[in-house]
This record gives sequence, C-alpha cells and structure tokens, in this order.
Amino acid sequence: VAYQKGGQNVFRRTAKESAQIITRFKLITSFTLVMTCLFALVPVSARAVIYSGNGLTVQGFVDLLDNVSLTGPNPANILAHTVGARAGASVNVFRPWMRLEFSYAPPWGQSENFTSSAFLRWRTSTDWTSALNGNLRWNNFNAYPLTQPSGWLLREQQVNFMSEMEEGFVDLKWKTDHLGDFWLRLGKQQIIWGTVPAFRTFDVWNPLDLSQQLLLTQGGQFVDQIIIPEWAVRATYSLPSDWLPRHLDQLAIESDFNPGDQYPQQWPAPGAPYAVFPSNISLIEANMHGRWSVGNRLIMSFRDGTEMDLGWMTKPQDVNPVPNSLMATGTLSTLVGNPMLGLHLPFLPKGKYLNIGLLNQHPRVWNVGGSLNRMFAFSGEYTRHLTGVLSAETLFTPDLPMVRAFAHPARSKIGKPDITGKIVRRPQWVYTLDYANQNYIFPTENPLITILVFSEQWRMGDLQHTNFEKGGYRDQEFLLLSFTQPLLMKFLNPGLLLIYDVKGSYRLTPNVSYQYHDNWLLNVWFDIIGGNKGIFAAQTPIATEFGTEITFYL
Amino acid sequence: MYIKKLTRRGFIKASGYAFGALGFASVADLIFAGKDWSLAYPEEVMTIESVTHGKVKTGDWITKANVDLLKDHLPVSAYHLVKRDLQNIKTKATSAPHECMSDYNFRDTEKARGEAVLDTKGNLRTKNGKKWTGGIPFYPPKTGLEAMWDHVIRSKRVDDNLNYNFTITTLRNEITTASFAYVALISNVPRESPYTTRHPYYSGYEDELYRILVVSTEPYDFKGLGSLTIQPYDQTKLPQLFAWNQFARRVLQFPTNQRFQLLTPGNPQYISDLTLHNDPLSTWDWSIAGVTPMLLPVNVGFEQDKVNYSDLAASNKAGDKLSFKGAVGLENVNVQSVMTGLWELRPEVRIIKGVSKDPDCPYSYKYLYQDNVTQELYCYASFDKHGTLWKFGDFERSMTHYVRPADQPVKMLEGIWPKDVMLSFYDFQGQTGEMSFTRGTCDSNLAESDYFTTVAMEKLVFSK
Repeated sequence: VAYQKGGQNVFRRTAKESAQIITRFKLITSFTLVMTCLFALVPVSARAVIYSGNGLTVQGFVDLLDNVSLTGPNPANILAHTVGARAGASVNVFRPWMRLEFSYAPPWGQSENFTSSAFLRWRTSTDWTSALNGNLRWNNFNAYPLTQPSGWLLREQQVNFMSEMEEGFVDLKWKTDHLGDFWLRLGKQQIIWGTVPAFRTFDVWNPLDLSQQLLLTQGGQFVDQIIIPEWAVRATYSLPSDWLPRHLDQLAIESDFNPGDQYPQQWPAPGAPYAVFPSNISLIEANMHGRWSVGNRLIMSFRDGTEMDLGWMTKPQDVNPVPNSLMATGTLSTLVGNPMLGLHLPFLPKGKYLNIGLLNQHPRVWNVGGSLNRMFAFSGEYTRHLTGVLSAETLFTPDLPMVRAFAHPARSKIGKPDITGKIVRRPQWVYTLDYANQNYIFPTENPLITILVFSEQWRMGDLQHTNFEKGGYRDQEFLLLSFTQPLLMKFLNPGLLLIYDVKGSYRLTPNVSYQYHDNWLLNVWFDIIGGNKGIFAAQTPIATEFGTEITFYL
Repeated sequence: MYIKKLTRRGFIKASGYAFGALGFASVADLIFAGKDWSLAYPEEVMTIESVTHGKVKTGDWITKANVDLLKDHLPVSAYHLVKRDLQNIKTKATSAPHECMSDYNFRDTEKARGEAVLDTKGNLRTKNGKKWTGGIPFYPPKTGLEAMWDHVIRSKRVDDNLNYNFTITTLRNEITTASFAYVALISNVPRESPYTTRHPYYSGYEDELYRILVVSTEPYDFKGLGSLTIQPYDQTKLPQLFAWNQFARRVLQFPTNQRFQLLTPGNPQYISDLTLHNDPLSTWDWSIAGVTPMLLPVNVGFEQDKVNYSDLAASNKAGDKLSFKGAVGLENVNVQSVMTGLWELRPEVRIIKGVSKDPDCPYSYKYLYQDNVTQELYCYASFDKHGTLWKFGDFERSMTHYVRPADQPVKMLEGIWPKDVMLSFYDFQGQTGEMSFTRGTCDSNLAESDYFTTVAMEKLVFSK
C-alpha cells in the first residue's frame, strides 16, 4: 500500500500515486453508480434471488450506509489535516457496499447418510467519506486498514476500495443409524459460541473489524458484518438420542481448530472519521503467526427447554487492551497534547514507532466459559408479564495479558521513542445476564420486545502500573436496555437502545427500520453519546451522529 | 353472524333421532364396514343442487353474484373473499372418503376405535392410561376438545415428516408488497403408517406431540431466519420456542408468549396459527358451535400427472401472476387454479368454537371448520378482543398419497390463505411440495437431528 512504508503511515504521496488513486476512485465511483442504477431497474416484484437452479443459489444486496456526524471534527485527526481539519467540518460517511452469496448443494454424491454443500460469500465495498463543508481530503486516510498482510483473508484493498471473500466453506455431514451424526465445516468462517449476542462474552473465537464502524450498528443486529471470519475447521459430533438420559434432548461435542493465523481486533485507521488514535501514531498490531488456536465445546439441551454450553479454548489475545484503557479513562482527547506525538515530526529521529498495548505480541491466552438459557413462565395476573428467557454467559481467563509500566514514569520518559513494557498476566472474569421479555403494552398486533442485559468484567491480582490501573479499571460494568415495537405487520420496527457504562457514560440509539416491497430495507437511527467517564467517554466528540442505511436486496 | 342462522345444522340436529329411527347408520360404521358412506346422510345434504334448491349446480362457479345463495354453507373466510370479488370458487362433486383420506389411516382408526379417553387434565389417553397409539382418536368427536385432539394428534396427512417449499406474498390492493419463501418441516411424532416399522413415537420424544421448524430462504434479509416450536404432549404445558438469528449467528430461545407474534413481516399468521391451530388446547375453551353441510376445499382434485411442479414454482416467483381473479379450472393447472381450487359440499361439517383463556392471546375466540369424515380442519376465522372478525384463512389441499402405490413418491399441493381483514391485507400462501418416502423408512430423510434441534439449526444457515 502506497502510504504504508516501513510499517508506518505516511500521508504524503507523490503526484503519480495521487493520480493513480484518483483514477481508481473515479472507476469505482462509476462502477458503483452504474450497478446501483441497474439494480434499481429490477422490478420491485422480483423475488430476492438472483439465480436458483441446479443446486446453486445466488443472493445478495447493495447497501448504502450514510452517517452524518453531529459533533464536528474528530480531535484525534487534528494534526493529520484530514477529516475535520477545520472547526465544524462534520464528517459525512457514505459507504456503498455489496454482498453476493453463493450456496451450492451438488446434485451428485449425496445419499441418505452423507450430504455435502458449499457456501461462498463475497463482499465489495467503497468508501466515499466526505466532509459536509467540502474540506475533506478523502484520500488522506485508509478506509480499509489491516494491521497485517491481507492475503490470508483473500482480500484485496486499496485506499477506499476493498473486495474480499468474506466467507467460504464446505459442509460435510455423515449420518449413522445408531452411532450419531458427524458434521464438518472447513474453510473461512465465523465460529459463534454462546446465546447472548450483546457484549460477546462467550463468543470469543473471531475478532471484530471496527475499522469501518467503531460502534456496532443499531442494536448490533447486523453484527455478522463486522466479525472477521477466519480459516478454521469446525467439527460436531451429535450423540444419538437413544443414548441420552431421559431429561436430555441433545448432546453434542464440538471441536474447533484455527491453523494459526488469527487476526487481532481492527481499529479505525489514523485519519479515518472514527479514528481513536491521533494521526501521528502508527499502531502496529501484527500478530504472531503459525500458532494454532484450539477449542472444544459441549452442547447440551434439556427436555424442559434449558440449554447449556461449556467450552474452553486457547488462542492469541486478539483484543488490545490499550485502546479500551484510553477510552475508559478519558485520556484519548488529552493525548493530543502528549509530547509523544512528536515522534514523527521531521526533526526527531525516525525509524522508531510505538509498541503499545500488547507490544505487538498478542500472547496466547486460555479461556474457559459457558452459557445457559432457560425460559421462566408465570401465570399470575400480574406476574405473567414477567415471563421471559434468562440467559447467562461467563468467561474466565486465568492469564489475561496486560502491559505493565506503560504509564510507569520510569519507562515512559519523554524523548525516548521506543516505549517498551513488560507483559504480565492477571486473571479476568466476565459474566453477562440477559433477560428477554415481551408484553402487549401498546394496542398493536405484536408485543413490545424488551431486552435487559447486565455485564461485568472483573480483573484480579496486582494491577499496579498496568494499563488497567488508571481510572479504576479493575472492574467494568455495563447495562443494556433495548425496546422494539413491531408495527404494520412487522414492516415498521421502531426501537430504542441504551447502553450505559456504570463508570459514567452512555450510548442512546433511537432507531427505526422499514421494509418496502421485496427488495428495500431502510434503517434510520441517531447515536447520542454522552458522559465523561467510561467506555463511551472518548467517543463523545466523534461518534454522535445521525445514520441512514438503505439496503437493496438483489 | 351467519353462525346463528345455521339452517342445516338445525336440520341435522332436529332430525338426528329421526335419522336413527329411519335406519341411518353413522358414517364411521358405514366406512369401516366398506359400505356406501352416503347412506349416513339424507340426499338433501349430499349435493349443492339440493342445498341451493337447484340454483347452483355442481361444476358452477361461485362468484360475487351468487355467493349469497351459499352464505350458510361457506366458511367466513371464503364468503368474505368471494363477496369482495377476491376469490372465485369452482364447485365439484363430493369426494368419497377414500378419495380424501388414506386407507391406512382408516385402518388404524378402526383398530383404535373406542380406545380414546380424555383424562382429568384434558389430555388424550387410551383406556388403560397410555399415550395414544395411532389413528384418529375420536371418530366422530362428541365435544369440542375431542374434535381438537383429532387435529393436534395429527393423524391426518401422511403421518410423517413433511418438507414444504412455500411462498407467501402479501397483497395490499393486489400489489405485491413482500414475499417470502420457507422450508417448513413438520415432525409428526405419533405414527400410524404401515410403511414404518418404528414405534408410533420417536424414541426419546414420547413427551412431545410434534416439532415445527420454519426457515426463511428469501428475501435475503430474512434468509436463514428459523423458528422451532416444540409442542408437548401434555397440552396443559406451554410450547418451547427457539429461533436461529441469522445476524447474531446463534440460536436464541424466546419466551413462550412469542407464539402470538407474526411469523414474519407481512404474514398475518401468528406462530400459534400454524397448521390452523398450534396452541396448547388447555389455554382455550372448546365447544361445537354447530354442524352443517358446507363447502370445503377437502380435495381440490389435482391429479399427479397433470401437475407440473416446476411451472408452479415459476409461477410462484412471478408476483404479478398471483391474482385471485381469472381463475381457471383443472384443464390448466397453475397457481390461479390452486387458489381457486375445487370446493365440494361436505354433508357434515363441524364448526368448532375456541374461546381463549390466555390473557396474552390477541384473539377472543376463533372458529375452526372440521369435516366429519376426514376429521381435518380446513378453515379458520379469528376474532379480536372486541369480537370483531380479524383474521381468517383457508387450507386447500390435495395429495396423491391416498391412492398411490406404497413405493411411489407422494406429491402434495396445498394452499393456505391467511388474511387479515382489518388491515385489508390479503395474503396468498401457496405451498408446493414434493415428498417421497419408501417402505420401511417413512421419514422423508428428515431426521430430528438434521433439523429439529438447536444444534441442527446452527447448521441450517443456507438450507433450502
């Protein structure tokens, strides 16, 4: 990539490079416009399948995502002279992207005891981010950053264009008459554990790609779009039902293997609208390759409806705790004045860059956890309104890596460009409780759906001089409240999402989605972020926004 | 309501003892004895000509112009649709029992005759207190609850797993607003078919009546969305609900009151409306509101050789063809003829009234229309809390399995028309499906572990 040299972001380009980028941009723009117009000409009564026949089904959509910032420039980008360089230069993120999905069940080789199928999902995305006052130099940031080579992801990316094989796998299934079923999924895939979508407590196999969308979309309802699928083998053995005790409906054992290229969580690039790091900092997050991630899960389902998962895994820690720390302590905005930012100024020595967080190592961790969900039904005149499903998830990490002495005065001397630290291990326990309930509150055809979630993270041991020390970061609590009231036969779905960090910040998202005809889906939402402490504090100046998303299903 | 003016019901009720005195045997006795079943009824209730005094003849179309002649002999749903010029009905001659119910179903029913009792909780048992072993339990039923047990035990159809492909197109002012296609898989736990060597219940599933899984395949934003209902045998217990959330990529459990949510956007059916009634019997008060001769889509008469399933699928995909108007007859079998299929006069149709006892249920009561020969439900009409007609639907069906050889694949063609009359939504839900099973397996290759468990649902991301 032209602007990455020596592992650093360089925002100066030659005239030739700029011309190439502009030409590419025009091509992409033209292509997307033409394709959008073509799709719009498809009769609205058409079914949402592009092709279906001979075992092959092709489906997909074109999505236009538009976020308008309500708060002005991102302070992290001030020195980059890019997005929001001037006061009041609100950012308008405009991102068209397309997804195509191919599923194939070959007509041959199938039998009563053996079935196979293949699945491939491809996505192409462009980024047309601009500033409302026209001041944005759109090509001054990388819209699709990856902190390590992208070949393993089968991904081709440019400054504002990305195309990748999002998922691609083969399913094989063997059935036996008396010995149970065996199922295998091979390929690039998402492995999801647990039953609570919010906070992903037990769902720790795949990292998140937050480079495009720092916050999840409204309600996290399209969370599968920001999970990074990775190459893995997933195998499940289901025991035959007549082997099981009477109270057990199903029992399955799952084994997962990732052959060694686990990606770390991706953050928005410096200069991007949602950048959390000042533009002068190059965050190097290359993961260690060649180390397998391995895990097992026991899935149990009881006759009374109770479901329980128990699992363990070992894998590289993909979440870099430093950004969390920065945001939680509210120090992000004050970093602008940090002398460390001068590292890349011309008069300072070059060739050194910041190893922050996990020191570019992402050490291996162990995780043990489980999930449980059960319905509670009440029949009393008033208590019946409490009928709902309780879900619980927990994860224990005995050896969570954290960086000691990042903020240690003896180590972080001003003027020493190579900031080194020491990784120490401390136990961490996370649990999440989720209660989903629905009642007829308003005189409508469908009940109001209420979801209440509480999650807590607790870190143990001596945290002195670690990146979890500042701001009382030993514990972290979140409360999530979600209301959805389907209307008009579920075509119109207004909702309200509140996530509250007990430390003192919140995200409030009123939203509404509307489905029109077979092919159109419109989402509109506000993200209102406030508070000065906790996880959302640092996002207050950058992510309070109005968003729309129009999806056309092909 | 025309229910109050059931002239034929009154006729039959008043004449019941007289029939007996005159030597009319019960229809069940005649069928099991292999005699002419029509001897159970007077000639006046056996033909459309008789009940309309010759004004409508077999083979005639029932349209807006003449529907009032049959107002007392049509379900609420059909009458409203024809009256609004949204549906035309072509009449046909009344089918004999063996043209609309399988031989083995009759055999099992005869074998188990007199065995069925209801225990103190209202659950179906055999006389010695065991779970039901197969066949239609109450033939004929004497109470509303007995009639509903005939429905939920699912002795109808082919007594086995079903694999449907069906589409739903929501029409508002006859314009397609949304369409969905599903794979619906129904696992019937009790078995009566002689083609299976298994025990009547799946091993390990003796405490359940059935499981229903509905998976959306299109449009894309609903693709993969699947909901699983597990209906317990004990009808005083509430069903369990699970759903595969395609965005969160996991199976979520939902509160049991989700059964009063619309299945998908635009579909006026609640999950509890699937198969016309999919709610625990104990949460309703059941009674028989009337018995009358009535037109029902018992066997819309498709002949296997004449049905081109690929043409049907193609027609289903073209939303602009899904008009209720301009129906044609069997000579050109297509979607239009499915939805205007052939209805016939059934001499004894039971109108079952169910009054909801669950305060969360949006309905106050509902009517279900049950034929006395097949003991199947064909139409329903639901009323809101104010007693106003809200939703109704027809279940038109035809299957080739009644007369097929045992080693031939079964084809079926069914149409469900759920409608929401308050919102003026008129829905087309045509089902086209092909099912095959062979002697000895009888499970359509759809095992529980493939579809009907939460572990299996995780693997159904792109099933169709």
